[in-house]
Amino acid sequence: MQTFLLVAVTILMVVIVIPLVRVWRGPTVFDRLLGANAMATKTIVLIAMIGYFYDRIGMFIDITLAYAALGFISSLALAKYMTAEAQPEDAQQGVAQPGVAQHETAQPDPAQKEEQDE
Amino acid sequence: MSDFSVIEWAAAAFIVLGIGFMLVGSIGVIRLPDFYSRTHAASKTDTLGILLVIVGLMILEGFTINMGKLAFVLIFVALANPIGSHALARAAMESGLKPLLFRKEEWDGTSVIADREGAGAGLASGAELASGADAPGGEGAGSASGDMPAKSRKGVTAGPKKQKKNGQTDDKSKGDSV
Repeated sequence: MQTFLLVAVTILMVVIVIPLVRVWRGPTVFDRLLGANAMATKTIVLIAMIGYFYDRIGMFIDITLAYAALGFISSLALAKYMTAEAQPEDAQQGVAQPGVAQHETAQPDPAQKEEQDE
Repeated sequence: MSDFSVIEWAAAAFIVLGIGFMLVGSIGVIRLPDFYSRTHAASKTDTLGILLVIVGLMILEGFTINMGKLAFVLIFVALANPIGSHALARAAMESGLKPLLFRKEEWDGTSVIADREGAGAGLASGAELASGADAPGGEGAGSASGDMPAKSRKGVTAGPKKQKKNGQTDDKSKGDSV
């Protein structure tokens, strides 16, 4: 069983690293948050399986609980923060509000928009 | 690996299945074209994968206090992961990021992803109308038919917007035919 758990933990580490690509080159900040959230939720399982691998699940399961709560709270807080951050910008530039599709808004170049978004 | 008991085989099956779901979700997060479809990939597959792996670990543990803690983690993840994904998607929607399906028909040139894709395909915007009409499947037909009502309804006549929109269509059709 230890060999199986070792192989499973190794594969799970590779699976966890994959969304880092989306964190690195997400077009919007929400893509980066999504990738970080996906990595955090998978890390819960990784910690629990490492606990079984070391035969100390009684200690590692508490770490898992704390990590799950922390990831959930941080995800919610970041989502709230991004909503509050993006609203005044939209009001300034007229960006993507429903019903302003007819307006001739000035086209900012993509690099500039990207900087603003980060 | 051949000296597994039945309990261990069951636990291993659950763990392998869960890791498979998580692998599919990770590939979906980096491969899907849109933020909302990526949310779909990340939230559902991750929740199911984590649930399966934790059920496998519970089977491996047996009936102890740690199984209760694992059950608590399972319930917490099953509740918290969809809530977090939904909060993220709602934050994106409220801050003005439009879905890809919605953007194709009445895109007003302000979305970040569409802007970037248009900039990437801006060089190949010469034969956009022909290739857009030739696009196989329902996607090209949908965008071509969505072009006309948008023009007649709103009177959008801006040059750069039109070019970028068609450039995006051109890019999509190329990706489909290859």
